[in-house]
Amino acid sequence: MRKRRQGCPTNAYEKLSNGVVVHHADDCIGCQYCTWNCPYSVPAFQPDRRIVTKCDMCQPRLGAGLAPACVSACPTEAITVERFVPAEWRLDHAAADAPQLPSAELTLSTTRIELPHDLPVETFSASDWNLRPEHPHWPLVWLTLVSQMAIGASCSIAWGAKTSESRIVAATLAGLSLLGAMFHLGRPIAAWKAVRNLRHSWLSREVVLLSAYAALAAVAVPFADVAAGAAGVGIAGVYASARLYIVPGRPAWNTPLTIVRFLATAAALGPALTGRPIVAAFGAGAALTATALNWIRLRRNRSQPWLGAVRLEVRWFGPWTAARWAVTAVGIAAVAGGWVAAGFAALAIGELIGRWLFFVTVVLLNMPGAFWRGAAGSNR
Amino acid sequence: MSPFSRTVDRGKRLLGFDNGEARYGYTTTAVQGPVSTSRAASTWVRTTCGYCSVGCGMLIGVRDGRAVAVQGDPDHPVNRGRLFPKGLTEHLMIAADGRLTSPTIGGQPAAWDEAIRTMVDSFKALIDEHGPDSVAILSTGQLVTEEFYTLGKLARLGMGLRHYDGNTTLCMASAVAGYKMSFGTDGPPGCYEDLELADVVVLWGANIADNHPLLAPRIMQSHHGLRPTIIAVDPRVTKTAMLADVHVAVKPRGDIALLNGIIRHLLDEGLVDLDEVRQRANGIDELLAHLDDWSVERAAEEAGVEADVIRATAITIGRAEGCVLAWTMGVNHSTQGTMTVTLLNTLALLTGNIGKPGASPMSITGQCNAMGTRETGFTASMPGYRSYDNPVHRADLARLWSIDESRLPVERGRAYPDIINAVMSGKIKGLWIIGTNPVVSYPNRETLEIALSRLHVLVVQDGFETPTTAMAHIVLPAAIWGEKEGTYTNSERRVSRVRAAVDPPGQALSDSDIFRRVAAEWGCADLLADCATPHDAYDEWRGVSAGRPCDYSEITLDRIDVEGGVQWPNGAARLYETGAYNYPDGRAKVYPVEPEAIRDRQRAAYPFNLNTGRTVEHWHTRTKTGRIGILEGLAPEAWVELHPIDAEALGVYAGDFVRVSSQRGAIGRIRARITSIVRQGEVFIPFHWDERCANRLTVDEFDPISREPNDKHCSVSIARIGAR
Repeated sequence: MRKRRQGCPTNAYEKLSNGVVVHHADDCIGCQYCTWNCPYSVPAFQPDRRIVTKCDMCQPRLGAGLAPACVSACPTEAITVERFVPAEWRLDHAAADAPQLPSAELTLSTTRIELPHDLPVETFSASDWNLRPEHPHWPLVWLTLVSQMAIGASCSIAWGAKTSESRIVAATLAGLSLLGAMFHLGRPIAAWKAVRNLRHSWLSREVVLLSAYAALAAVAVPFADVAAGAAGVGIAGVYASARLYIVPGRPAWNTPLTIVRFLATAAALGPALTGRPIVAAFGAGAALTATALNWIRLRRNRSQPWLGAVRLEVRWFGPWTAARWAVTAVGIAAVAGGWVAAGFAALAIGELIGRWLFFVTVVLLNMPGAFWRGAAGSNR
Repeated sequence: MSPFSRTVDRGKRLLGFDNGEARYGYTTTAVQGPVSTSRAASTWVRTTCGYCSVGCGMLIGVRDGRAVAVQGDPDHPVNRGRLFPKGLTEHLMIAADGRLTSPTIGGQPAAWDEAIRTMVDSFKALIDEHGPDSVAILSTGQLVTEEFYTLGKLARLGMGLRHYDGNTTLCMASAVAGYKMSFGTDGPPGCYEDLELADVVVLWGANIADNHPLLAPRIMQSHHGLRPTIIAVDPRVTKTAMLADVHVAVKPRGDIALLNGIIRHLLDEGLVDLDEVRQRANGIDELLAHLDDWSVERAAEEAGVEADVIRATAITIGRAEGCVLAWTMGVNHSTQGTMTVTLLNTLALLTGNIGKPGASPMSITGQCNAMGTRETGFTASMPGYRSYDNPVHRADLARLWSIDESRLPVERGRAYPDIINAVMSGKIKGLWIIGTNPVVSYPNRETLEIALSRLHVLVVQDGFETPTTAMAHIVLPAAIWGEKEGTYTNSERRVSRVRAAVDPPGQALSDSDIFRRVAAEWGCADLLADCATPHDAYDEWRGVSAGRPCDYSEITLDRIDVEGGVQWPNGAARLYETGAYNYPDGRAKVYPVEPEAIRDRQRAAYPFNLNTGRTVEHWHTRTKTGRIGILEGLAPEAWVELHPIDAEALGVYAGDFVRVSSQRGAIGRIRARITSIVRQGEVFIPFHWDERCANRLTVDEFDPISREPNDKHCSVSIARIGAR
């Protein structure tokens, strides 16, 4: 019985009959989407190999009747491997829970943890102090922002702005957005594998929908009637884009507000580009509102992955956040006041800062660690 | 490779043609089983770990002339196949960056002949002008025994230097001096098996979980059934204190009071057989008279420990059938280190915990071969624990080496801190530093740096670039662990073999090769004629040690290979089993000890006591471990531990940067770790880092007997310097 890891667009993960999930290097394209899905940071990107790898419990060693390397190496025999009955474990997996550890419920974790008997009631993670920005993933900032701008423009075109220049602009942006996204992959040469898991992976769906959108946008240049179809597929593409960020491992993204934020970006930038100032102003307003609502949502939970994300955005990146709001406000005023070109530029800058903040201020669910866990220079 | 093909390769890499499976995928080898191809070894070299003095046996896996893996040696009696994080990554050290590969003069690469000639000519010129007092050597605890033996002869007989000491004075000199005062000679009396056989193990200022990790499983997973009662005596709740049954959180420098209180209560409870002890040790009456002034209550007051805890601890020790009293730097690093060691020895003597299985006063040493230099070195004593002022010993050595007795030095010469003081005052103008990094490891860094900058000639011999090699006029590149042959002796006096797995990089030479080149240039090659190879040097040393307390004469290399490590003297597990000690009258000696106040004590301007120490991920000044990514990733920065109540008063939160200042210097920015591991009013900083160097703060005060520094007590202030 095989069961694939659901996030992976290339089906690189395989669950073996003994319960161990293994990862096939040949199938991995280095998109790192799995690293967002795991609340324990088990899969990790290896810059040297340009792919993700993960612990497979030394599968070949198990096969040879040996214990995994970590078990053999531990001088105090603190790690053991044991068999379990999946059906029973599904009913009761409380033994895999520990203070400050993401709930075993999320992934049905089978790592049983024996805690000291005298553990204090209030136990915190020693690494909790360590709040720092995440990687910006510039190719993804580019992909999401530019594709949303293009799709916003296509919607605007489908609504009636039928100049051929704007259709050329939309098609060009659509193509460029996908081209830029290639730089996010560790192995662009195998990018085509990203469409393998349409059944489960939002990343596969995003790739297919945004590619289809780009193709339709290109067709719409000579055949204007296709513009409406392009817009429809594009909106579906924005939805798929947003859905892949909605993962339990990243609480700041794990909300329908992410869909609102992505659609609002499309509504702000596309119409501003194609001369629909009022729609653009509303779109930009919606983007700011959704961001603020997310802060309110996150502030209700005092744990680091929730509250910490707000702290990063309003405190650590306070000047940038202020700049984003100010520039966007100026942009709204400008487009509403008739300076459409200047307004578009301000909104684009505001959304660029906003999307960058979206990536760098997310705080991941992770295992609680010793003092240096997650710090600059540490093994994360 | 042409620029074009390089571009193509880079492009192919970025496009992801190679996913690294060929380098990292599984391969199966006979020894390792399935293993990452990057770590698959074709041959294995049996050796001993080169970090601490526990002395774990290990195997280095080699493929294509490179060390690719290590494994614990399952047959070695010390570790039985186990290793800890530094050992498990030790093969990565050999090929780490920052190795010295060519001699340099004034920063410019030079040929070996030229470098050695320049060094010898400069030293000789200084000696001609200013006398033999003007040149000194500082060595280490990390060469092989054969090299220490060779270096001792070269320094004291060949070069005729009066001042030669090692960095071992910075870590275990107090244990050496304390053993000498108590038993007549140096030599830890017990063995690791005693940790398993004991009913009670007292870890006194010994954080073994961080610093001697493979001893912890020897206690926790006793092969003889029951785990002993573990008592940890430490001001901090160290990892060792966490695994102990009882933690006695003594005040800094409170251990003499605590020991006096424990002994007082043992006497009060009649748990000491005074008649028997009087037959085995001198000084009992003076001790008893002194303890008249010590009530358990006074001890409790001065040690910062409750009187009932002292009583309970005394009873536990006194009623134990076997008790090991093990200590390390918490005891040694003090201006009263030596006397504290004698008091621990006294406690063992009074309770009969010496010379029998499961009992001993056990100094756990620091460096991998600190013991080798204790026995063979020509520093605190002459080779084989011989005294400079003992005519029999002098005649003995002169005969063994076929030299005139007058060539033997008449006194020990300056110890490490006194060498530095003499450099500071200009009396010593030439210094040869071998395998140590005083810029980071010596207390009061600013003064030390001024002293080193005054030298006319500074020669530094090391495996890696260090802050000290950066100050040197002449740098000599040496082979390191894994690149040379010899033996190490561990804390339980066990001699194990060290072997070369790979060749040293570039022009680097083994330390013994360098010593022989210096001897040839100096014109004293004849002295080392019988030490041409490590084997020869070992055999000569065996002869020299014969009949001495540290007798290696029957410990042949072949015997070590068969037994996987042999303890001196000649395979004996314990010393003093007959009840005879090494003083001429065969009796031990006990001493009354009165605690002295910490001189640089806490006060309004400097309200915290600074304690320094180590962390398991790093070794000494990180010249090795700082270059190993896995270890750096576990502990990437230095930190200061601060009690939550103190932190609140200062407005400091976990992870904030603070400034730590003492009267001598400051660490400008260091991360605060808020934790009740430290007591209120006390802070702790690990000393491994060159950046954020704890030794900018420490005080250059030394034990008057051992000359060991006082690295655990000085006063500092802390100031918040803002959030991250």
